[in-house]
Amino acid sequence: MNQVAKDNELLDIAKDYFQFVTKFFEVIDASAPHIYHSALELCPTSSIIRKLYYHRRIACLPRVVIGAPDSWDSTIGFFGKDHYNGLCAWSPCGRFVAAHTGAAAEIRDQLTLELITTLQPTEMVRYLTGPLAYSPDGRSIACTSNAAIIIWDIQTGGVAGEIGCGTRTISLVWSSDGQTLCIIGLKGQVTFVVHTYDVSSGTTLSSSIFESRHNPHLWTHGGFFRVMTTVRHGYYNDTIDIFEVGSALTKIRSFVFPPSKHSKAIVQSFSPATNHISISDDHELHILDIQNLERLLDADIDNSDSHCFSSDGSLFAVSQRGGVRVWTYASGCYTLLGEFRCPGLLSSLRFSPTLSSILGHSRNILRVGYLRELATAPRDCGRSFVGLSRSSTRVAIACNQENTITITDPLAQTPPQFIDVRGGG
Amino acid sequence: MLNEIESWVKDFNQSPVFWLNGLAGTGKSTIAQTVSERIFADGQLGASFFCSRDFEDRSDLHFIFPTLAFQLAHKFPRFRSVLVPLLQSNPDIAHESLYRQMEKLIVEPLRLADVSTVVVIDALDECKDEEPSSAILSVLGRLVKRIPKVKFFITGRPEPRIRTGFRLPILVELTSVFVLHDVDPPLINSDIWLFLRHELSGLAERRQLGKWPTDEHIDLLCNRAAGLFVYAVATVKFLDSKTHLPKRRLAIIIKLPECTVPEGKTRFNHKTTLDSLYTSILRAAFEEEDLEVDSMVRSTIGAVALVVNPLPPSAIAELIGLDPDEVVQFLTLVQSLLILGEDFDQPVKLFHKSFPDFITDPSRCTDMRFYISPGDLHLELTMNCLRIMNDGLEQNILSLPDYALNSEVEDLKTRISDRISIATQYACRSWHSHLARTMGDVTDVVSYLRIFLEEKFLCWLEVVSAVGAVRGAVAGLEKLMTWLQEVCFFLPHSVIP
Repeated sequence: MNQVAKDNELLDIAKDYFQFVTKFFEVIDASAPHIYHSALELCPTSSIIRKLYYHRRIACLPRVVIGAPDSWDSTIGFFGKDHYNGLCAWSPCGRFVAAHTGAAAEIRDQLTLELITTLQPTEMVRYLTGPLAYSPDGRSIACTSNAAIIIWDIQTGGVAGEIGCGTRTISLVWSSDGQTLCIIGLKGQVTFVVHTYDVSSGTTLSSSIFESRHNPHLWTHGGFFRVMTTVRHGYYNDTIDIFEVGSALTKIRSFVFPPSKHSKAIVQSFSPATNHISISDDHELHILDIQNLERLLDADIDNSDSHCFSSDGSLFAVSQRGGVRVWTYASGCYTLLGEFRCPGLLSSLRFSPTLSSILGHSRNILRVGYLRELATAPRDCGRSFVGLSRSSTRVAIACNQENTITITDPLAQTPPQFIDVRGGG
Repeated sequence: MLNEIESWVKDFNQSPVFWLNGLAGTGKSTIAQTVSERIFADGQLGASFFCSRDFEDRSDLHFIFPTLAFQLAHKFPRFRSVLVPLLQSNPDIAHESLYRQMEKLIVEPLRLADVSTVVVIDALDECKDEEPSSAILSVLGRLVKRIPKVKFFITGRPEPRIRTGFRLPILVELTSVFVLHDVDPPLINSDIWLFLRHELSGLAERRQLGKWPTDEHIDLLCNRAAGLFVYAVATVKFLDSKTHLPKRRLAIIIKLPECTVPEGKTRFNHKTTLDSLYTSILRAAFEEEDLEVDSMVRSTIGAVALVVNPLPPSAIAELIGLDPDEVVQFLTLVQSLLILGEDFDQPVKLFHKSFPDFITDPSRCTDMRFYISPGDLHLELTMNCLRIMNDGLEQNILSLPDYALNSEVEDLKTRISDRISIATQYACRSWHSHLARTMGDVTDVVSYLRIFLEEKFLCWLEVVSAVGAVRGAVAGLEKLMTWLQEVCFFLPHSVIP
């Protein structure tokens, strides 16, 4: 074996160990013995750490005989006490993720999902309901409630400002200079309002009402905010309009969108970088180039929830029952990169600014998937480890995708026990 | 200056924050110490935090408010009676944001207890803070108005984030500033002159040296200090050697040329001879050139200068593989550059930050017998850390009961100190910090790493779990991956079959 191979082998070992420490962070942090009893016991059968160290665990202790995953899961999940709401966010540097549970916003390390800080609401904003967004310099976070937008100074954890807004917010975007905030609020079934605010004074700079058949998309472009809306014309045709937000909305582009066969489908996401939209119903997913009226992707899906394009349009992801599928876009076509297997439908999918990870939440679980592992991981890794706990009888238990594992206790000479940990264990 | 500070302490109509702003070596910490002692004697000192980059826990911003709260609770029963129920209802407050920490641990209890006091925070610039303006100062600016009976005395170099922090609109009007390096040179020189006269007269009396040194000697030393208090302290420490004649040592200093080498980044570069002073201290300690001894001296002094946390001499000896007596001897010879206690179990520290800057800069430390190349020394320390872990770690080294949580093991700290040497603990916490800074031929490091990863990795994790350093281990593995990626690409021997 030459030196290159040897060095790469060490790198593979280091990567495998990194997975081990980050996936089992809480276990290792809480208990040195559980490194062997839980973490090593429940690490994937194909992992390097298992191959090198599994024989060292004490033979006479209980062990998992069914339920350990085959390979490293390409996601990491944090199980909170409360359900996550609204849209979560990446810090501009890509090292932290932010999400809120209504009662408070949390900033976590993206590698371990360890809590870095908690940001509390105020008297005026007692319960957070809407999306979260980092300021472009990463020093502030804005989040909305039905009463106001709250802005925290992340450096101190204190509230840097509150801006009253009496609307149910669905989108929140900072201007690229961090001086202005733009929100879209829901006024009626198809009626929305877009407001812009001066961050330092909290004054309203503009307000405009518009209609859209599907949820509008809001983004910044060259120092301006833009909104994409869909409006139905006649029985089948839709028009996709793009407006610039100023003192009033100025229409700058309009695309006719005639795919009658998709009349029941909903426009889920839009990429300003490529002018692609994703639409889906319960069973089919399509990506269309609205500029050239070209269909770029047709795929079967199972109950999709959240769609998202990366900021440069080179990646697209959709969450569906059982996982998140990711495509890459290059040379005019979408190619499936792979699928993160995870239980539950993930909402609020977001690619990291570095395009290396994807974030989403499902009920009380916050989850980050790593794209570098997705490309090399088996498409179907079978059961995937998602959680770990300790029972009152001091036996490590795990929860896999089927919510069951089998353990045996050689000391008690009992036959393998089938433990159902459905419902959170 | 002390009078000005004392009048600020006593007058509650003056601003609630005082910033003692001074460049390196101008004596900020000494003044902070003196101020603390005086206001402690007056019963006005509520709490103090002396930041230090030498210690992980004293350079972490998140330890400042909990430490101050602990001291305030110790001093004021009323504060304690408010704080305790607050802690019971917010047990995780120490892990929350700085704003919440200050609000809940300091501001609310002080306000409710109606306490009037002074808080001292020294060397704020030595805390690790990635923000462009100091996080502590931002928080202070937002909350200090809520506690009008409390004053904050803060020292720090005028580094960008400290300067920006004090310039925040919310803080600027609440702060009095004293710029130490802008004080008239004659005033500073006169203070340094008095200091030298006082210290050296005491030394002369103890050692029965008669009328030594002369005023001309003091003038010369004062002139060379050129406003740097650190020069005066280093000189006194050098002269006050138990094993040497002070007169002979003074002659060595006097012989030094006025200005032979650049003085690094300090702006006092016109007459200072701090680097010359350091060089002559080292030469006086190790007079004869001996390649073997010089190498051991570099390893010893380099370890003191480059370790992540200060270590006692015995641990330094274990870390670099030398005899403890030998290490103690080397350190004693240069003790004027160190803070070396009578008790050799105490960590040894450098007496001033200017020394490691000097000894690791080839343009300043021109005598190659003493120059320490940081990349080479980190390589040496990495191998030593890996050697110690590979030789000393074993499975269940702490004999912990099966399935126990660390928090359930009541005597965990005793088990750690009894079974894992300080050097081994240091190696477990810090091997990756040194690895990331290695330079040169890393072939041996790769061999040591292979043994560590294939045989000792879980034993290492056990230790980092028990000592509460798993977060650092994650960062360490990230550094390892980055390092290995570079090694794979750049090692010339990597392509040799």
